[in-house]
Amino acid sequence: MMLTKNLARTYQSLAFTLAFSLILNMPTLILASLTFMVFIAVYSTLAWRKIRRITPNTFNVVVSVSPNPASRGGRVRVRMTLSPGLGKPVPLEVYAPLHEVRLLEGSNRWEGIVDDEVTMEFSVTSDVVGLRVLGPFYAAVKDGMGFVVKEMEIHPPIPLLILSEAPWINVPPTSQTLVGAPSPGHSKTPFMGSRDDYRVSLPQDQPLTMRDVDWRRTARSGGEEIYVKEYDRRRKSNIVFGIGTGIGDIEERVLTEILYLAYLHIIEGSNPWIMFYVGGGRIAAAPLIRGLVGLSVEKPGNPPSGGISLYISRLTDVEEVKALKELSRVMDLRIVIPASKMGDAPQSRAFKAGLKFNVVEVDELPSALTRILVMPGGVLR
Amino acid sequence: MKASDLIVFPALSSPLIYSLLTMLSLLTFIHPFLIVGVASLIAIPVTKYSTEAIVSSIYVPALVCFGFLLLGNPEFLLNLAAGYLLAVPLFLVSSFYNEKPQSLVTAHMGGLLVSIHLLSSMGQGPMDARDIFGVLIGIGGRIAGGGGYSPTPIQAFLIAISLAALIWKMTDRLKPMRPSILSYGEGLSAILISATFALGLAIASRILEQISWFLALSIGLAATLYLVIYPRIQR
Repeated sequence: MMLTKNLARTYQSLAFTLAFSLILNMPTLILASLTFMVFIAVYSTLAWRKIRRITPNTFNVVVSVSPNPASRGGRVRVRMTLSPGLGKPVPLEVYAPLHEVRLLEGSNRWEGIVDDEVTMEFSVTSDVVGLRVLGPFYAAVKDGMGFVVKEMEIHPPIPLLILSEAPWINVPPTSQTLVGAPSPGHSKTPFMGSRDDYRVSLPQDQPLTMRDVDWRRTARSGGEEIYVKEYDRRRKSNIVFGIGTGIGDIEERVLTEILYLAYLHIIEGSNPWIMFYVGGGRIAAAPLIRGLVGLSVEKPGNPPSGGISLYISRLTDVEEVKALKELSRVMDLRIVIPASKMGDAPQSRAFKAGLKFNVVEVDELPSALTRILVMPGGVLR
Repeated sequence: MKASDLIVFPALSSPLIYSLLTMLSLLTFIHPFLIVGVASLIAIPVTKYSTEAIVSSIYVPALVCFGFLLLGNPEFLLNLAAGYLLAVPLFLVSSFYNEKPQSLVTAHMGGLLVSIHLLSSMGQGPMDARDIFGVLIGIGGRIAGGGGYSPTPIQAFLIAISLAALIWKMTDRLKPMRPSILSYGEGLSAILISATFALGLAIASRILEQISWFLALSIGLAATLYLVIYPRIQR
C-alpha cells in the first residue's frame, strides 16, 4: 500500500500542524489535526483492502514497437493496449519511462477511469545508435477517492535497437542450398560455408584437411572464399547476446555485430535473444526473430536457461555484477569485456564475482565472439 | 465555481470569519484603514489576483498611508497593517481553496493556528492596532510559557463544521472518480471512526488533563508509524 503523493503531503502538513499546536498548546487544533490523521489512516486501510487483490495478471497488456530495430532519427511508434479483467471501473494511471529516447508525439502516460480497453500511443526517436530501453510499463491503481495507490509493472522493458541507417541487417552473400533455396552460405544442411565461419566451427582436434574442403563450391566462388564440408555440428540452440554497461564508445559496433551473429544463428535454427541491463540491478531480455525485412524484436520475457549467453560489458555498475552473478547460476553465462583504458577494473570485478569472462580487443570483437561461441563449453559443440 | 462550493467555502472559513468578527469586536476603536486592510487582502484571491484589484486594494491604500506617514501620522499605516494581519487566515484559505489538497490543508490549518492565537491573545483585554503587533511577537512567549486556549462552544462547533468541509473539499480534489466520499462505505466508516475517536480523545483529555499532551503526541506518532509500517507488511 502506498498513499498517493498528494495525500502523503497532506498527511505531512497535518503532522506539522499537530507538532505546532502541541508546542503552542492549542487543544482545538491538536484535536482537529489528530482527527484528520486518524481519518486518513482508517480510510487508507479500508480502501487498501479493495485494491490489494489487483495484480499485474489482472491486466492483459500488449505492446507493439515498430520498427524495431529502427534507424537513427527515425520515428518509432509504440502502441500499448490494456484490457483490464476487473469487472468494474477503476482509476488507473499507466506510464512508460523512456531512457535516452525523445518523445516525438503522443504521451507515454495515460490516466483515467478504466472500464474497457485502454490504448496508449506515442512515437519516439533517438539520435544515438545503440540499445535503448522502453519501459517497463507501470500501472498505478487507485482507490475511488485517490487515497491509496498500488503500483505494479505490467509489461517488462523493451529493447529498442537503434541502428545507424537502414533498420535491417545486411546478410552475407548467398549461395544455393541443396533444396534450391537461397541461403547465406552458413547453413548446416548445404555443407558449405565461408572460410572464417567454418574454420572456427570445426572441432579443435580436427584441423582443416584437404578432404574437408568443398572444392567445387570454392572454385565456383572464384577462390574468394574457401568452402568446407560442414559436419552438421550446428544444432538448434538458445543463444543469448547481452549488452551491458560502459561500452558507449563501441555500442554501435557491438550491436551491429550481435545482430549479425543473431541473424546467422536464426538461419541455423537457433533461438537468439538479446539481453540488456535496465539499471538498478535488473537485466531483461527479448527474443530476436527473423522478420520480413531482417531481424525484429519480439515480446520480452525470461531468457531461456539452456544454451549459452555472451554478455558484452565493462561492468561499470556494481548492481549489474550482482545481477550477472545471480544469472550465472541458471545459465551458462560468459562475460566479454572489451579492452579499454579502464585497465583491469572490469576483469577484477568479474573475477571477484566468480564470473566466466574473456577480455578481447575491440578490433577483434567480431571474430572473438564467434570463437567464444565454439570454444569448449560453447553452444556450437 | 461549483455549486457545492457555495456551501463548502463558507463552512470551511466559518471559524476564521467568526474569529475575525470577534477580534474586530474586541478592538477599542475600529479605524477605517483597518477595515480597508482586511477588505483589500481578502479581495485579492476573491478577484483571482486581477491587476485592477491588486492596484486599487493594495497599492492605492498603501500609498495613501505612506503619505500620512510622511506627514507625521503613522496611525493609518499601523491600522492598515493590522487589518492585513487580521485577514491573513481568511486570505490563506481563499488563496488555496482551489489549489492542491495539501496546500489547502496547510493553509487551513495555518489559518486556524494564527486566528486561534490572535483570538486567545486578544481575549485577555481591550486592544488597539498597535497591540495586534505585540500579539504576533507574543507567539514566541507562548511557546515558552504555554497556556492553552479553550474555544467557545460556537467556535468549537464552527471548527468541527470547518473540518468536515475540509475533508469534503480535500477528497473532492483528490478523488479520480465522480462519486463523493459519502458514496463509499469505507468513507462513511472512516468518518464515523475518526469522529468517535475525536469524541473519545476530547473526553479523555478532560479526565486525564495532566497527560492529555502526551496522549495526543502518542496517538499522532502511532498513526504515523502505522502508515509507515502497514504498507510494508502488506507489500
